Amino acid sequence: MMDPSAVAALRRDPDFIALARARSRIGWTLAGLMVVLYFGFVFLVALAPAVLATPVWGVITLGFPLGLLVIVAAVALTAIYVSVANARFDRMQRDIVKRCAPGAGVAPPDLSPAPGLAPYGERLA
Amino acid sequence: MTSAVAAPHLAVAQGANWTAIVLFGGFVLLTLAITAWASRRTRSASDFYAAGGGISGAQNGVAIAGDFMSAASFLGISALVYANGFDGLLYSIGFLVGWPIIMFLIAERLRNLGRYTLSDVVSYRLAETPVRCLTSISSLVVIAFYLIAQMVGAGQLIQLLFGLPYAYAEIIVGVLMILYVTLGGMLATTWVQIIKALLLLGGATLMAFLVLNRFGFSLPALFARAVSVHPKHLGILRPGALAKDPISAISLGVALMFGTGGLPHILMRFFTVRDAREARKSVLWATGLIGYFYVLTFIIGFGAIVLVSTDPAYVTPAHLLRGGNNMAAVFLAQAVGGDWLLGFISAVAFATILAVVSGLTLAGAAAVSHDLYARVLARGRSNEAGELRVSRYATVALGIVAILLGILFEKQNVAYMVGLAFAVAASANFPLVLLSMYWRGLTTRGALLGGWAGLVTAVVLTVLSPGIWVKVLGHPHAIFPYDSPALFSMPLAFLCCWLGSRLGSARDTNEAAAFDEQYVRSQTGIGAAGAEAH
Repeated sequence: MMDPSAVAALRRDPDFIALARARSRIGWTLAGLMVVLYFGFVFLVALAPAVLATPVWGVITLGFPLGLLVIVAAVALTAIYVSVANARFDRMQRDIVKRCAPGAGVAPPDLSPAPGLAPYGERLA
Repeated sequence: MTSAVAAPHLAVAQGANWTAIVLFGGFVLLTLAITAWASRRTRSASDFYAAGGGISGAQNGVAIAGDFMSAASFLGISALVYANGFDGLLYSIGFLVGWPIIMFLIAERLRNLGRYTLSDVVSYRLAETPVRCLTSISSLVVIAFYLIAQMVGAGQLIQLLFGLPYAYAEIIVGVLMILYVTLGGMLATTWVQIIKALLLLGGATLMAFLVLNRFGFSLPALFARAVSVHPKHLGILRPGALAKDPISAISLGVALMFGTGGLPHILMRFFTVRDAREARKSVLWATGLIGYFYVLTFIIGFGAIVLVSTDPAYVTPAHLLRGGNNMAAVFLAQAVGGDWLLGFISAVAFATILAVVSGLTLAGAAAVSHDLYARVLARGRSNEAGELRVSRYATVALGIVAILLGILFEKQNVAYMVGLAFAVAASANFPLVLLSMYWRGLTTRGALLGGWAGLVTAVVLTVLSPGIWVKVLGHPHAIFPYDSPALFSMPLAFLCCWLGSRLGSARDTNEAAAFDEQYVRSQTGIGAAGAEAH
């Protein structure tokens, strides 16, 4: 358990608020996008099957490329989240932990490079 | 799945049986050697439940993909494609799209808050005893249904491939799984899963390549041929049964998309990596591999329509696949790669079941020993050695229960069991995991009301659905007309969580205040478990 005053300080810290907001914005946006894409597909299957039965490539119907698109989108959205988190969130998080909770006891392991390892920013590259 | 069906098949694959048996024997020896190695490194509770947090993101990603590429999805989805064509796509996409949701909303916070189980996270700031009871019981229900599906699939497959009696097959799977888990814990379970995932990906890739090779790598040529030989003709290229029952299709979509985020054996894997960053990496690996795999199952399914359904060696005079549609992918292996590939794919399919069942059992053992024994019964006063002893007893007990359930449910339709597992996970575990991490207002009363409502509704509606009420219990009409309950039970769980939380009391204010500490930890990882060096 963290010291309640450290918690309160972090909750007010502008950098912490910025990190939490940025993470939650991208997380919910991408999750919403995924839900819309998937249920868009499910609703087409359920309510407009004739649309999906249109041939587009030889006998292959529109349903297959659209389904493949949902699969590719799932992987792509996941990759987008990871690249944003790696590039921005980890750094923001490390700065906050260093500054605001030096006495928190346990430093998160990803934020404390082992002796001999290159500094965090360089390890990312 | 009677021996009368199996017999003609055995005549087909007689020569290949030995390849399969030798390859499978090799897999068992290799995995037992890994288990022996892992057992020397498995000393603490953290080692047993979470491989000491020492699995890398990429390794964990492959292991997670392995959990998902179960026999049910490899054989089951290619069978669905074989039988219905397009409709199989909805399942494969559904199994995949839960992963981005886990990534965006669950994985990092879960890793920062928990130690071994999802109950750790849900009970973080709520009354521990009743909440852990609820989440460990709902986890055990999910695991039980998932286990039955895998065990029944294993028995049918082994009966057909190796000509072993069904009960022997159950016992072999059960005993090997008990060995892996009790001796090697999460470390052995993870490596068994990784090896099997790579074998399965390799085998499926080879099969898809060989199928496409027959058609000059032209998908339209493959599909055109499939349309001309399949009894449904153009029907396999458009939505079929699912379009006739839109509510069931949407409800299934809900169960698949949100159920993944409530599967205990999957969420447990996030505690095997060092930190939130590695957790993220594992989801990306898993999503990429699972997506690739499901694309392959499509090529395999259509390949089987063309190459298996037209071959009298594989189909009965009545145009039914010998041994059932689940054998489509296995027969295709022989059709495109001969006896050697048949043996390889059979062995890999068996290995798949073994690996998935081990992961499920470990998650079940953790729910019993970590949640119910150490935290609820002993209220945190047990020592680690005692907890580990209980976890091993629990593993043996779960193994025996799995064997018995497998034998008991021999004739059951395994697809409903997997569907039920996802529906319960989406209706009981997922709302609690999500709300406990995101909603300050969630109280113990809300979590209990919502969790129990979701669990009971999902199970009861499934029993009343056509799949159980009519097909299994033999009633003329289903009381609940849809195949999947999730569209109703999951919103009900969320609603009950909200309602219960609104009926507040003084204690609940403390729970809201504790949210701040939990929130800071979930965002920053300060105080997160798993910092031990490995």
